[in-house]
Amino acid sequence: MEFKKQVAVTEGLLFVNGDEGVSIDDLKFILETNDETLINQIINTLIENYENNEMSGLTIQKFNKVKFRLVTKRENAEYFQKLSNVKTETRLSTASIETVSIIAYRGPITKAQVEELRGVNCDTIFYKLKLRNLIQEVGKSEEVGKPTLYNITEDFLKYFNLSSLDDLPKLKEIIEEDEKDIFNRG
Amino acid sequence: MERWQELKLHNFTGPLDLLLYMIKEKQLSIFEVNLLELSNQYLAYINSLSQLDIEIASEYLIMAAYLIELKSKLLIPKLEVEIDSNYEADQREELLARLLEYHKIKEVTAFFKEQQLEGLKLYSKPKSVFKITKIDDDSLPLAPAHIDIDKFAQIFLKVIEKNRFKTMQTNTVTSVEISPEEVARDIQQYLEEHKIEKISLEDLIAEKEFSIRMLVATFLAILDLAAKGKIDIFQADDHVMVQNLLKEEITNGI
Repeated sequence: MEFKKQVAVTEGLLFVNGDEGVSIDDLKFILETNDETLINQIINTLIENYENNEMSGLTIQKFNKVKFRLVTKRENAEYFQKLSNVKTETRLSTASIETVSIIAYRGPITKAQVEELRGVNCDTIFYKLKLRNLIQEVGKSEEVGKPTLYNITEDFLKYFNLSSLDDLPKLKEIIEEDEKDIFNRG
Repeated sequence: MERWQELKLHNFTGPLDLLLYMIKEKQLSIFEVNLLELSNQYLAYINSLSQLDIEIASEYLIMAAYLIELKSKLLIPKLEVEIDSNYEADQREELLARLLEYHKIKEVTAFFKEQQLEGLKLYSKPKSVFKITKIDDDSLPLAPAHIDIDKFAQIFLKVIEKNRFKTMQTNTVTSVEISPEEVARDIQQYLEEHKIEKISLEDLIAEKEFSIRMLVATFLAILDLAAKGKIDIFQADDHVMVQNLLKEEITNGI
């Protein structure tokens, strides 16, 4: 298959799969190639085409490192919101964002551990986050009672427009010794 | 402190959020916090809330209880608690650790809020389901129907039309439940009893007492019987015929 053709097929695939996106593995299978560099080249060609073409309303969102999906350009969002078929999605509350970010940084994590961190009961928030498919059960902890472990989902990455967890800002991990002393004087 | 009274608990996501807010209000680094003062302020704030929503407040009250315990340890003259100094230090350490951990998360929530707004501006469409894919006739679970489906529908319409007058006169409310399963049994029984091999759909329907419910049930029953391979429906001239596939077995005494 000629490169141009491969780009065209890939664009079509992105359209067909919509929301769900296309993975590098899907592309390998469909384009009958094992050449990952080629696939990245194809995707990057499409992204460049979209970005450089002011007359195009589409672009490609990367998520979960190896997945891509076709989305509308963000600068046009206000126009689509005029449509009656736009179902306004309620934004996550600050409490939900706090909770889901803890899971993103500390997952897999149990609900009790999140509650310990936030100092509040998180039943309802967990329920809502599960309902929106932003978090999922990933197994059982070895702790007493084998509580369920949770982690974020692929939809979390889509929702927060992150290509991977590597995009998260680093948490300040190190407590300076002298700062600790200041605290202890308190 | 006065201004804190204007704040409502639900402005905070939890007791740690409130503690952090108090620290920030004083423009203190989290490491410079005077725990005794912080406890006092927190307790004063909780006390000042005349209308505590128990649902929301319970967690704050747990924190208050924790701070009271901590405060009591801090207030006892040093000499007397010497034996217990490790405990005191541990508790402080613990609160510091929790606040720090919480503070770290709190610092990145702005990032997530921003990302959320960005994400909500991207629209995509649901995955397409192919409607045009042709399935091999051979792989279909049913034998191909030898009927024109429009014809099939027309017959039902014709029956309704014919019985229109009857339905208009009927104004009694019937609440008899008719299940397609029952009707299917009746149809089979009818075919078997009358040793009928083939019958036109119209005649078969005419055998039934007419009502829209009965018509719908009959329609479903016929499709169900055809799907199960018990009858075959095919077209002959202007009629849709129902053929009893079990006829042979019946005559053979099965």
